[in-house]
Amino acid sequence: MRDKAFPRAACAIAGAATFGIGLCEGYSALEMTARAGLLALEDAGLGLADVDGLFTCLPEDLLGGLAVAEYLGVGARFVDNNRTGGSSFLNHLMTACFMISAGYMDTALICYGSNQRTAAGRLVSALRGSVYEAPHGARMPIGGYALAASRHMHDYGTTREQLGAVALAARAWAQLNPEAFRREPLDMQEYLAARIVSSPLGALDCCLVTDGAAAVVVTSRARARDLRKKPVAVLGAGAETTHKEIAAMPDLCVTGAKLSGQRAYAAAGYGPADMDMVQLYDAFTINTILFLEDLGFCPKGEGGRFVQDGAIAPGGALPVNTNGGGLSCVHPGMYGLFTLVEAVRQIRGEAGERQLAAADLALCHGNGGVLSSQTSVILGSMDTV
Amino acid sequence: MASPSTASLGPEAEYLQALRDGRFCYQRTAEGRAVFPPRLAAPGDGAALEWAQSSGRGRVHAVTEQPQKPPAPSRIIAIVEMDEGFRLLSRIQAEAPVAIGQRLRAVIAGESDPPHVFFVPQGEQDEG
Repeated sequence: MRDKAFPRAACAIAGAATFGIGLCEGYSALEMTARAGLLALEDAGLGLADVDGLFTCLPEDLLGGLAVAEYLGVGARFVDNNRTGGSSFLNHLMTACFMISAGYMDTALICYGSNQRTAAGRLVSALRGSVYEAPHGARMPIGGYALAASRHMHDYGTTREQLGAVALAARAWAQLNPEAFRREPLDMQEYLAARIVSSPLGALDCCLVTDGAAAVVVTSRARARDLRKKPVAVLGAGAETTHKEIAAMPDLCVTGAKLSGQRAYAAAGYGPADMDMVQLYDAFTINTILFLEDLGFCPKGEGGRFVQDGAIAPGGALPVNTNGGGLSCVHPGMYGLFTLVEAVRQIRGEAGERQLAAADLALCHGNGGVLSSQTSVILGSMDTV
Repeated sequence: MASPSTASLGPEAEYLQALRDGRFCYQRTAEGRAVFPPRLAAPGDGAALEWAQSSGRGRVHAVTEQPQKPPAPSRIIAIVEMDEGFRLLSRIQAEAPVAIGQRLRAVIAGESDPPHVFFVPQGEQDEG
């Protein structure tokens, strides 16, 4: 069947890096992207000359893939500038694995950087409203997520406190991560008192606005074995797109993660119960609840109750966003690539104070648009291959 | 019902022209499946589409309130489910917060650029 067509464990992530998380004054987005790329190659023990495929997109340059190719002098054999929002980089990884396993290229660099906090001071979104949506002046993308949250509350009794449990868990993880941008303690009282931006979502339901860059280097598993770091195998991947604008979402409470997850599990030969961690794109607190349901960690509608008592926080049954996520670690506009970097660090045992005792299998999940594009990737240690 | 305009326009321009003429239209397939926003063919199967005029009646499917800088009132943004079975994003002009299930009536802002439809509360609340 087609979901199993993914080249299971044929490729591995050999290098991973972040750069400029938080504030990165004095750097352009392109420079940040290039720096993260160079750091990831150094991490892998490879050089620019080894890269024959480039996968990237920049926040405001629609042809940013070409800009990065020129800047680094790589990617002549293939440049992928796919931009499906924050899921882009997981899609990049999926394509790179197919192309490497097919023999067209050996090594791909996936990189991204944005200086939106120091340059713009606000979320730089690539979303443009249609003639049907734009005249209403809705604040987007938050409005789309708030509409989904309103429906989830109506259908399943999800509460503000349950959304708050997601924010508190992310902050608790961030407190263990020296790289995270927001590390001061957060309690439920403060969460509930935060100003409402788009009901039911308040300021503390929203991802951060930070600078930040990240990169990963992907190559064949055979080649990765001889490189500097322990390879992290790409076991499975799957994607699903359901809409662009929120009014066209078929069911506001069921995302494409249901299918993208099923495809990734089928390819990897593992299920949700096998995962040691989940690194998902928490643009807003409702995302975590929706994705945990759709990715099979709890039944539909139970996400709020699943997270409410600390199940996804440090010490909980299911570690989620161990770096602090988009909510408390880093959010330069398109967070997806950071899910891969954090999973790699955990699987390699490089996560310091937040290191998980069991860290062999990770589900990484990217989201783009307004719950529009969903991509799931399963990474594993060499023991899981 | 025939196309709302006889001019040779794309579906988007036809829809906007109908609004300027005071008609809120959507499309449907021969089997009666409602399609919105307007398209050249039904999404997924490419079925032929014909125009129909909406009753303008619907209800709140999902809703969010977005506070504005005072003294501007909060903006109420909703996904509206029309009685004909299609959904659209719009704003609701109301003094008080509205709940999911609230019945609504469309108001055509045909003079606006671009023309569009917003909603006002009307009558009782549905189950949602």
